Amino acid sequence: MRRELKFALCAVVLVCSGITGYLSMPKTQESNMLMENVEALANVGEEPCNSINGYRQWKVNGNWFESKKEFYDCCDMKQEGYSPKENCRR
Amino acid sequence: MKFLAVILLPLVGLFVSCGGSTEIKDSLDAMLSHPVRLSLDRMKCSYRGSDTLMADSIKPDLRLVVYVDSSECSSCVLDQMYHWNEMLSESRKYDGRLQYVFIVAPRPSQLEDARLSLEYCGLQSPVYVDTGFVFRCSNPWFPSGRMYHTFLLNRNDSVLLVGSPLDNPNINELFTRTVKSVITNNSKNNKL
Repeated sequence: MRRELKFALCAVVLVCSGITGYLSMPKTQESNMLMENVEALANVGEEPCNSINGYRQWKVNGNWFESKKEFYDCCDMKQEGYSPKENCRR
Repeated sequence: MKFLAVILLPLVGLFVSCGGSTEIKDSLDAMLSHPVRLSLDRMKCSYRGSDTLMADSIKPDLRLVVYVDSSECSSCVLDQMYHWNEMLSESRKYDGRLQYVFIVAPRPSQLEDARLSLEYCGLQSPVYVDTGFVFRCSNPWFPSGRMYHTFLLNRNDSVLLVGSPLDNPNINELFTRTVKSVITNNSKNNKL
């Protein structure tokens, strides 16, 4: 009788752990994805500005013949008299 | 006392070093727990500066939303939007299952500059202009940091991934993997 009870208990524990594992599986995948996302976003911190440096030219008041051209660095700051080098990622 | 210092100092160090990640995780948790309401029907849609209409016959499996709010709505940022063109042309292989949604929310004082920038920036996609700050009003919980303003939505408008694949190679890798997996799974389910 005691042996049967042990078997029954083992079976219950196995079934319960199986169900718990199955139910927690997608959640674990989601949480892994979340952690990967967090890490990927946190790594951007090494490079505070993600913009692209270079000259930008735009029309003034929509006029085709009037345009302005300025150099902007990686942080979108206008740099006057700056000799641009490829110091950004792109 | 020494024993306490030995125990507490590493713990304090751990909390300080994990502060940034915790903040990001909290923001992502908030984003993942709310469906995003885009309310695109309440925004003006324009293509290269001219008003246009978007009529989607099939709801895409995934939508990558790029939201440019008024604080970052400078002409420099808008002028760079053509960098998305490469990803836009790559997405054609998914037959419309992956859609890009660009939302720009300029202040009234920025509106004319924004319109001109969008006209000349060369972005090969329609842009939703949110002059009434509808997106912000519909999603008041939305984090204000720029890094959260590009995100991938599934069919139910739940956030799957946050971050710009254009600016961050790690996000790009996650983005490519997620898109492939979701589109493959949905194709299998549709066949069954």
